[in-house]
Amino acid sequence: MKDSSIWIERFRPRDFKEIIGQDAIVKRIEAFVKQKNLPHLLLSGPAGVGKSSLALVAAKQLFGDSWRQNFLELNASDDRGIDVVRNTIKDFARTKSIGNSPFKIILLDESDSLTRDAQQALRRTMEQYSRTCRFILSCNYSSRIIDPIQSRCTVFRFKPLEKESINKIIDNISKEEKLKVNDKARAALIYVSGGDVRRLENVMQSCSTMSREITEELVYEIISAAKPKEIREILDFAVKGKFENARDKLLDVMLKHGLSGLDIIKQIQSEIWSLDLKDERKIELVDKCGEVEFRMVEGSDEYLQLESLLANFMKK
Amino acid sequence: MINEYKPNKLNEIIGQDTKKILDWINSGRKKSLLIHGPTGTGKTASVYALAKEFNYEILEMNSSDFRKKEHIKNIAGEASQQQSLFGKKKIILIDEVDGISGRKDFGGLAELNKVIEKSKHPIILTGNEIFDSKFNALRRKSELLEFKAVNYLEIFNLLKKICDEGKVGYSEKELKNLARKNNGDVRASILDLERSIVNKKFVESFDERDYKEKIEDALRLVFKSKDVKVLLNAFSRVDEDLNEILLWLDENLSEEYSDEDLKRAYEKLSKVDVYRGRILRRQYYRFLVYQSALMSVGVGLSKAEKRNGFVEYKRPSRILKMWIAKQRNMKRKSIAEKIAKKTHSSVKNAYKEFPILVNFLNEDGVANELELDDDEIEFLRGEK
Repeated sequence: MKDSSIWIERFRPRDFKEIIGQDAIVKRIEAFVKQKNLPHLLLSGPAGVGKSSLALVAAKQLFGDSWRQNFLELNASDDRGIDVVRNTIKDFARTKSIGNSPFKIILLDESDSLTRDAQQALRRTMEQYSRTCRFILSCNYSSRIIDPIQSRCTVFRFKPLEKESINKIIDNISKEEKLKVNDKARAALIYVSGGDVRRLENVMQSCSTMSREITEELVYEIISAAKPKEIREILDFAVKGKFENARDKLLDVMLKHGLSGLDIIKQIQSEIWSLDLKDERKIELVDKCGEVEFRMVEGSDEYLQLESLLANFMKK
Repeated sequence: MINEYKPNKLNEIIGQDTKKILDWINSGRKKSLLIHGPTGTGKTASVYALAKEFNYEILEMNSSDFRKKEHIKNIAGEASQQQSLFGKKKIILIDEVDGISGRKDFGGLAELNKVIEKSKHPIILTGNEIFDSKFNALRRKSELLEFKAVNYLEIFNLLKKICDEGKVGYSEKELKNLARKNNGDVRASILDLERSIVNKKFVESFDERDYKEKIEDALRLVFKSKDVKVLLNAFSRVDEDLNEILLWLDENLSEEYSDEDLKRAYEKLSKVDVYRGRILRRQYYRFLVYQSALMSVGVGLSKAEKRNGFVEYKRPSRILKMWIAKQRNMKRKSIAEKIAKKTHSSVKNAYKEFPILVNFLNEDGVANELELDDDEIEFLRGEK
């Protein structure tokens, strides 16, 4: 994969040595792989800390050249229903592995977004076919995985990457890609990535299309284009009585960032407390948010409902 | 009388270029012909004239029929596949396409597009207003033919001919007035003539036809008046469906109301919208009563005092903007799917990170690796 043009693939670790951070977990899994045996695994932890990468490395080491035939990767946040478990997963799990490996592996990414029904269906499959197929489930929150599945898995909890590890990754990439990253830019990268390496690498690749020298400003420029800050502006317009500006901006934000009404109302609701209003008014407005959110969930027109909410922000 | 004067041949239609219909049917260029233009200019009549003259069988579906997806599939869809009973050639006529309602005839337009693609018989569609975006696909698929309002002199000549044939006495001046009155609507003119003839004599003319009220006038009533009687009937003669009116109200409300009035009125609209949702989900149309009352009386009484001053109302722009954004987001999604496939990520995540990714997706190597098509590359160029 070294030759991929997309950095998150180009710099994905190819063997256990290349995985940065998570030392204890890597060691344990490497030991499993050496014994040519792998229990069902549940890898839990924040985004972009190496869960999928570790699973991929394990599969490649176990299966060698035939890894593609023996490895199925599914993303549960895209196919989260029971049908996937009953069809795709089952079909793959019950057929024999290819080559001299005794079993196959299914990597089920973001498995905490599987519906409960799907999880229930999965639990039987895991047991029934455990001879021919091992599961690696990854998730952000293990609490969303039902107990029977957790009890069938060996659980590993990934921690957010330490600053040191992220620095190593930045060094590595800037060396390979001949980038200059000064200290301030480095701090900015660490801050905006929030420990998510996928994000870090995406931001770095974005920066690199503009300049070989990454600066703090460049990093924030890239990020600010991606982050809707306009909710506050909308509310400020409304509070000042500039209703039309507020509603135009609202539509603009929803359409430009492809945000749903529910996305917006979540932000409005948390923004209310910092507005320059009397506390009694604030709680009134929060109450109103609840009502509007309820109407939206019931299936009303999101924009119209938000407009009616904004009308309430106008001062008396 | 109007039936008596139904044209039997294409060239009896006045004021329109009806040869184009023949051209189309003989050319086999496109499977459907969309005749559009104002009421009473001969759109439907020319289809029937064509059928009579050239011996076609007509299968007609008009807006008095339900036109949900299933209906169109059942009726037009099947007819489009069958041969005619006696081996007669068939024309399928979908009259008044603009009467296909977006909501109540849900899926109807999409089905119609399918029927056109599959049909073995020529299809003629007629409509008044066909430039709404929901007819985009239909317009693209069909050959278009515009019928114009008919010049009053041509109407006058026709009326004269009718009177002469029926041996009715008339004065040219009165007949001309009559021809002028209906803004190029031939059907209305013949009807008027019929009603003005008593005992083979042309008598006193009569009141103007009560033309549909414009939505702007109805809005003005609602925004300005506080009289319940006036408000209650404000929208009754407007030729738009309630949901369309709701969009108009929403677009223009803040031009008229402010502060507390605005807040109260929006509360009403918000409730209207809740009812609208319930109607849709439960197919319980009784709720229309409440929707309608809240929209007219509810909004009207939301103002503390009667209001003066003239406001120019704007056409709702939101739907168009949303449509454009939706197209955009669909492109985004299809690109996100390609990213997800190549990078061990979820589509959701790629979609979320899109604003960051967009910076390098169009680099040569990346676009190639993701197998982006020309459309997507073009789209990205605009996004960056």
